[in-house]
Amino acid sequence: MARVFIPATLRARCDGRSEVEVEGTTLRQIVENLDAACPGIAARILEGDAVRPDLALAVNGVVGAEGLLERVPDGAEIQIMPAIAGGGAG
Amino acid sequence: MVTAEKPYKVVGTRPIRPDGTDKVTGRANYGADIRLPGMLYGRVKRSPIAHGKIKRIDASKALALPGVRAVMTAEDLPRKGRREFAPLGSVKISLATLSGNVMARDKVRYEGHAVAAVCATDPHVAEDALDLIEVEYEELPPVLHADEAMLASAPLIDEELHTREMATGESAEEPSNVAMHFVTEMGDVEAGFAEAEIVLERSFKTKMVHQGYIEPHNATAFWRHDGGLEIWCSTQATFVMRDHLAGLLEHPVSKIRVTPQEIGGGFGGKISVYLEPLAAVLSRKTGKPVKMTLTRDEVFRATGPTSGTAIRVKLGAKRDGTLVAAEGELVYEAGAFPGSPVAAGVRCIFTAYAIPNQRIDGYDVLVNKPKVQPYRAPGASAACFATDSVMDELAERLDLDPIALRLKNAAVEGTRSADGAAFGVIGNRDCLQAIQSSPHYRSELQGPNRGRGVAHGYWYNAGLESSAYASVNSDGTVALVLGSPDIGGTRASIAMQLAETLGIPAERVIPQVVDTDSVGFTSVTGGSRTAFAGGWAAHEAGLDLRQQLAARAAKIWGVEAEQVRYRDDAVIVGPAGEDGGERSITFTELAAKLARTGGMIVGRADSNHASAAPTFATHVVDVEVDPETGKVEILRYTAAQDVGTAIHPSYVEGQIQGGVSQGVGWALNEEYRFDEKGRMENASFLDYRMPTALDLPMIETVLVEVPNPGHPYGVRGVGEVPIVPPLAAVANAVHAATGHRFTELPISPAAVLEKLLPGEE
Amino acid sequence: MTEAAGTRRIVVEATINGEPQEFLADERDSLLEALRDRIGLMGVKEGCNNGNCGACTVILDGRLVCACLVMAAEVEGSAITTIEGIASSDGLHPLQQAFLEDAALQCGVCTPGFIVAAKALLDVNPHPAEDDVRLWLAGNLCRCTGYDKIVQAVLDAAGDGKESA
Ligand code: FES
Ligand code: FES
Repeated sequence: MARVFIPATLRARCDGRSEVEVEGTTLRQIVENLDAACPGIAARILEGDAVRPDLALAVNGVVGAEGLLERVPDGAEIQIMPAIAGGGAG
Repeated sequence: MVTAEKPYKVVGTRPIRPDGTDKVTGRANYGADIRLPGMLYGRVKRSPIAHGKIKRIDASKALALPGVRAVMTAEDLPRKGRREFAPLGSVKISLATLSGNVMARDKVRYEGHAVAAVCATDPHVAEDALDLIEVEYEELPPVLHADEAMLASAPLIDEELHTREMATGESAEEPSNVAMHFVTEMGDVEAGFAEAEIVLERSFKTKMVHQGYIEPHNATAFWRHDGGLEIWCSTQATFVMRDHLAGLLEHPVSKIRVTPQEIGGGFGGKISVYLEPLAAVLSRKTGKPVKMTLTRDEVFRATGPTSGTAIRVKLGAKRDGTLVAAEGELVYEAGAFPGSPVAAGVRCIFTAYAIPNQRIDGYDVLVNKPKVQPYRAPGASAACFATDSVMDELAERLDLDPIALRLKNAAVEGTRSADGAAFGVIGNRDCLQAIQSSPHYRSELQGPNRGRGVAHGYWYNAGLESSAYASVNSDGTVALVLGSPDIGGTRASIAMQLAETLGIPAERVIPQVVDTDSVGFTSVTGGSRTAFAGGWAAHEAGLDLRQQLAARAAKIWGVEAEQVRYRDDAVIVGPAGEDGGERSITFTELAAKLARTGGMIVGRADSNHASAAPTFATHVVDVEVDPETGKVEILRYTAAQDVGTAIHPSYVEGQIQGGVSQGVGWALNEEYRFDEKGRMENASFLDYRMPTALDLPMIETVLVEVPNPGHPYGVRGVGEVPIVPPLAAVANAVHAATGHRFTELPISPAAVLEKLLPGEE
Repeated sequence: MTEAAGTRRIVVEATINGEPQEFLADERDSLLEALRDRIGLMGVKEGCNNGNCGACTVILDGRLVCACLVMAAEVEGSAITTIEGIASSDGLHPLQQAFLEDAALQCGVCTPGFIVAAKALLDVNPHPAEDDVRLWLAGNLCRCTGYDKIVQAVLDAAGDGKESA
């Protein structure tokens, strides 16, 4: 079971909830199961077979490199956030 | 000052950097130092207007000039679709944006926008040829400020751009200069403010500022007759450069090799491509290598500064100072194409503090100014300027010590930020306490027109991919091959982590930064990730070496590999031999035997670690304001920062001091000034005033070492967060000195005098 | 290089880092362009090409100048010292050693200019105070270090008492 935090503008699709609990051990399963709970939400998160280029899914606050294959431990928290680049020191 | 004792032998020491001698003797090869036989020199023809349609480009006169070899325009680049993307670290970037910024097609969107490029046998001839390229424009009214750009009546910079709602991915019906809207919400903001006993709401503005690296951009390209494309340049990201070129030129990645030269500073501004595709096309046209370098004027007008911003912050607190609600609205100028760091601003604006109810809106807005690029902790400095100015006023109103107010509200392990993420082990309070107990903060500041200010900032950090290969030489040294260009001493800090893993002295690791064919994919040198991810890859390559060396010793001794162990002191030990004594061999002895016992050994790591490593910084500054001239002098500056483990403390201090210096420049003097037609008025180091040695005191640093549990050596990126607090810290100090709140930067002498002089408001 | 329009070659004689040299330049070349593109002394850096950053600092007949502000044709008969001429066959100059030990460089592109400028300072004032160093080096920009470690390195090199004559 993972806890997905729903961004404000998507809450309408989840009966106004700001968090939804779903099953799944990979991000792909999480998104599929989230879509079952909140129909239509996957279409907002995915583009083709991947997460939208300007969006990122964080597992426990960390955006991994494996996209939808990223493993999701039991009890994890998933955040849906904008994909953002770093700057650069030196 | 370093606050923690560590169990390491190499990590935490201060060896001389391996590339140092070349750099102090003038022998190091920077991008502009390349010279190839038969090389041509390229220059860029740029738009003199900020907004207009290109009606006609005629290069015939330029081509007729003796010595000129070729001219190119956007027609020579493939047209890219808006939804074609190229990777950029954990983000993807639109190739249409990249391509459109590299060279204008149909329309120029800012003064300095490239419209054509020319190459010639001599640099002076290439320059002469620029005037001979005729370009006819139909001028359009420019949009120069984000607030105007957001109006429905504003001229459109891109007729096909529709505001995209970040979270839903939905686009608005009508076209707009607003590229993206972000919103993050947590708790119940209205209820939160209703509960508050004091509410402050203020608006802030900052101007576009430039990274200001001393080395201008450069690129040399050679398009071989077999289609192989060689690029030499100073970039923060060789592999990103390669992939972007592949996308922009529609040329296979396998045919492009990017060789990084030494890079004279980047701070985020040398990730994007500018000259490389132009030099490549000119080389393809001529069959000769083509070198291009920007002038300083071009660097200012045509490479990415960071956004000018307008930020509104509203904070609600209890009378004891406890924050109960926060609202933020961030409007960031993206420049002429989408992509300001407003999302990072949204992410960072309140995150240092635990606030249960928050709503943050962010807008990415196009204006007819150069396309912004990342600049150190992109987006966070302006956000911190707003929040920490309001925090300062809150402390004043509630009669609380400014550090005490921040300590009361500091996020701790488990605190959630507005996007829902909870912090792990962080050094947030530690930084505040380090300043609270610092000699500087405890000292008395006396004298007229003087004031002290504090501010506190946050930056997240990213990991991403890095590769490292390490091969053992017969003399007991290790050659370490890296893919991350070294900007500020990262060769040293990465080599030190490998030395620590192997238990050998730092000088025995010889690091080398190589081209894209010679090492595995390595992401951007940026986001402070290099010492973090590169060090992790080096550590893993070291673990690989330890294992292989143990196996080799086992082979030599004729025992099972499991019976042999590589000790942390670089001695390999095995089971007792026939004489009953424990078998052992040192790393150096074994290195000498490798060639004759099965060959040399290479350790490899392709590492890809995502790990949150948030960093915090608390700064305190004393200033004196000259009431006659309006000049603000920095008297004393102390910066405390949660640096994780300081691998090479001198370079950690250096990163902090450099970031502070840039932040002070941003606060006091630096700004892009445009005339009403959108032409930059101060595109030189004379008129764009960056701090000199005379403008700063020694910058005291306090390294708070809270090791990152998500990294083998506890590393957190150190290079970004130092630029976050200075804007607010300086503004707060100027307030303390003058009694005036400055909500707009820079706090230039003219701006100070305007407030100080009595008379008309 | 082939002849092209608007280029006129000149021959210049000068003593560069102690060696008398004759080189071919374009009459429009600045000293910076001639040193880099015609002679190959790439340690002299370009940061602005208009006298505002000090990356191109060289010593011309005992005077500190920005090479980008001097025409190549003007240096006929002069003596020029660039970063390449600071170390001797015995090893690094104390300033170079101090820059290394004090980590006074990050990207290093400003370093040649700072070392040449600091050498000129120590030549006239072997024991400068911090303020003297800051004032003297105010014409050299560094964007990476915040100057702290550069100033410290110059003070340390002076403190060594090894500053060269
Ligand atoms: S290049 Fe000569 S002063 Fe900047
Ligand atoms: S070390 Fe980079 S500019 Fe000085």
